Amino acid sequence: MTMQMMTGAIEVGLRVSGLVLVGLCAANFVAAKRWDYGGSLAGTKRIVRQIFFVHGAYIVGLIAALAALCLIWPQGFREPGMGRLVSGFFGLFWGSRVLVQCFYYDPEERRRNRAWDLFFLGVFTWLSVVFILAALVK
Amino acid sequence: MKSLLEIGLMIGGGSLAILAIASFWIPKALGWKEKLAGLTPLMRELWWTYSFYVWASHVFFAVLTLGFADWLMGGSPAAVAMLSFMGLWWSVRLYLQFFGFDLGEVEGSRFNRVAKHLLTALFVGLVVLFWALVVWNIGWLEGGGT
Repeated sequence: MTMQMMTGAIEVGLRVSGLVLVGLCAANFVAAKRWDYGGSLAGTKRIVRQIFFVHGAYIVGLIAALAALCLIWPQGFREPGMGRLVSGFFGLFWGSRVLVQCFYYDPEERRRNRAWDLFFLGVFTWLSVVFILAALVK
Repeated sequence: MKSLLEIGLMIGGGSLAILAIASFWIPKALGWKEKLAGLTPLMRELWWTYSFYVWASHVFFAVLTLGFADWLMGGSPAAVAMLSFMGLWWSVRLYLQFFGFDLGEVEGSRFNRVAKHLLTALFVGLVVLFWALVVWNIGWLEGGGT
């Protein structure tokens, strides 16, 4: 594969990632309903519920901003300096999310929800690979 | 104005780095372990995962602010976008500090009161810094723009 083809493939990969990230944003809302976040937190202190939802909202906001960047300006992730740094950060961000999914989340819960587990694993792996390539391939 | 903003970036970046380090004490100070004990394992895992990624974002902001000041002041559309994002991030956090979180449930020790005021001052500073940089990069302040 020539360098030009590789560069083109990564840019397409980043655009596809934008769509994947839009799906991931939507999936967060579906998951909140599916696992009844509100009900599960009902017995806890108010500040605990607030911190949980604020952190969740910040994560969804970050993903939405990343999705917009991928869709509108994918070549920005390939620019020397800052572009590569941002790509590297998100490569690590999503790569670590694969590790969290595999080694931190309750195996029993993952087994019970195998389709969701595979969906998230696939999404995080894809995103990690695309952003790492965007950061490293010259 | 440029040197003032450069100093602001150094102080802001340093403060973000201190915030990232001090964040390791937050779970203990706010008694997260005890407060989360009643949750299901999945909710607890989600809680720590969300917290970790928010923390990682703060580390990234610190790296950007301390290591890429020239880029952030370069007047590029990308810099304006990044600064606007960070400005929005901290503006929302500042709003939550006053109108979102019910801090009445947090233990009112002297340490917690001081920490709360320091955090509020930090959020105000970061909001002013990042929006000032946006305005400067656009060229609305003397010496700013491309």
